[in-house]
Amino acid sequence: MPGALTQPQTKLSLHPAPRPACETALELANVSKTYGSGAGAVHALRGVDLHIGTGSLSLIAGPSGSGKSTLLSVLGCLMQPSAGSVRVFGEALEKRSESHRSSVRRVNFGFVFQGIHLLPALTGLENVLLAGEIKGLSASEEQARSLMARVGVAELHDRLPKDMSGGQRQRVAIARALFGKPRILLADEPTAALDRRNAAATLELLRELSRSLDVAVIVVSHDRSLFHYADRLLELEDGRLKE
Amino acid sequence: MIPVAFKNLLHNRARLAVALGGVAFSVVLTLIELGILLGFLKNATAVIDRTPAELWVMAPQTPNQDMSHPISDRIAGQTRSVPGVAWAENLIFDWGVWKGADGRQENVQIIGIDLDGHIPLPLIAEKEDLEKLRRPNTVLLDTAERKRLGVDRVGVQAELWGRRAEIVGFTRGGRTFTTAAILVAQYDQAKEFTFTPMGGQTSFVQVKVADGYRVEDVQERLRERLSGVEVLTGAEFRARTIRYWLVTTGVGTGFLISALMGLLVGGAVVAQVLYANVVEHLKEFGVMKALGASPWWQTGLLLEQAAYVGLGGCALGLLSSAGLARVVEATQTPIWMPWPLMLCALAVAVVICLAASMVPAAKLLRLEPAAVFMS
Repeated sequence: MPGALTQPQTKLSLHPAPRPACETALELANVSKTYGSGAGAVHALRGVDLHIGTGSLSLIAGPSGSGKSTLLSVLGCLMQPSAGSVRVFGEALEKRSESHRSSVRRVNFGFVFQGIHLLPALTGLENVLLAGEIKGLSASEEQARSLMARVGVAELHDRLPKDMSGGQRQRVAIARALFGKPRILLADEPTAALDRRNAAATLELLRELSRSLDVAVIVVSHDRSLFHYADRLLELEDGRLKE
Repeated sequence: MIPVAFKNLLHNRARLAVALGGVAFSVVLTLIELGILLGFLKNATAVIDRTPAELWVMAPQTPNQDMSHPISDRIAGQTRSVPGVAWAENLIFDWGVWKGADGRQENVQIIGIDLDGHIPLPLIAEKEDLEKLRRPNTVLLDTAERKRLGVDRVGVQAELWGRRAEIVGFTRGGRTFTTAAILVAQYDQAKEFTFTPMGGQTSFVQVKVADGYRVEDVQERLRERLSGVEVLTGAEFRARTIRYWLVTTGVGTGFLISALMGLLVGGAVVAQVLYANVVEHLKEFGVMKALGASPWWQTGLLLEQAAYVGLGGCALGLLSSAGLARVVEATQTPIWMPWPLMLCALAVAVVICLAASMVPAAKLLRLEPAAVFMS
């Protein structure tokens, strides 16, 4: 049925040696982010403290303009906070160079975006492999195919994004994010472009992946119907985080 | 390795066609402009290039082979007395006015040579036609100019500076920068056809250096021995002729500016196409950056795309230029596109395409990866 998600056909172990459960992946200590200065300053984050462990799905909710995108950017080392400390697996990054943070991103992070953003000229398999190439990994086609099978889109390997449904594209994007065995997966409104059924299936998949792959999955969403998939629900309001 | 650059280009074929067309147009424009310029310059030095003489004696400051000033023809005799000179002979290369039987008038260039001398005619001619020049009032006409002068056969008569002249045969390969028709006559006869009074005078003395002597040494001796003239090697005279047409007249600057404009048009098209591609896929590029793509990786992607466009466009441009050159040749416009010129055009076009890719690369490098979360 076009547009519908299929359940994963195979469950392959992508991590030969399981990691210890609940390792602390991300730590934010008193993180603030301010855009602009003076009277026009916008305080997107105010003194955020947060610990996120592997093997669980954390969901960050909040109304529009509450600072969710900024928090995600700071968590993903895409943006430097104005104040406070960010640690990734214990390593403090606030004083490190952009190239070092980029390398930390390459090794530890996978990203799933609201707009999905697969390269339209590449097939599903090539989009997944590209992530490996960017990360400087010896891009194994077998590994990419396994990942696609793992997220239930094995049959889409030679299909272009324009020939996929929204749900299928999102699954390919998840496979892309998981290539290279990242330990942290950040997902920004991953269900925004999906219907209810596909949205639920995507969250189910992310939760299952967090456990089976021992990955810290952090999802930003404002869709309350998805909250029950989260192991941990965090609410962001006016730049302040509440659990 | 995934051919991302290649696939990105192929994905939008209309845009790729515009880019290839832009580069091809640029290469055609450049090659045809430079080819015509080289064709003119080749003609400009044709007489110098085709003579076995190593030294030229001429009036001081003679700017090129087509604009000689008369010197005494006794200089040839003085030249022969200098050690190291194998032979020295007079050459008339001057202007005349052709007046045909149908009344048409044309400025023509007249070459006058000693038929018994050492200097071969710097054009292609049949031996028996050259022998016919021993008859009075006879000339050979370059076959390329038959139509222009209305000469359809041997035996046609005309006036050259008031004297009757009969066409007794045809030559080939006689072209000059001025594109005037070339007539060949026996040396003394030619003096009567030119509109510069040439009694006791000549245009040039050509000198062959004897075996065992250095050209520079003989040149130096001639400079010491001969007064009121200039002595240049063939290479020096050639360089002066080219410099005159290229620099002094500004013709070369005009052609070079046109050629440069052609290259810049191609570069601008490639920059625009690659820039549009980056802008259209800014989010995707942001994703790559977020995934950890290094600036080198992203710049490399754009450089690769530019190289494909450059090479593909050049291939099309070279093919089109080769075809167009034949059309240009058919119009009697001189054009010469040697392979080094084509290689240079290809190299320069690819370099410009690569440089053009730096415009979108700058945008890409400024792109904040966090922007993908901010939409």
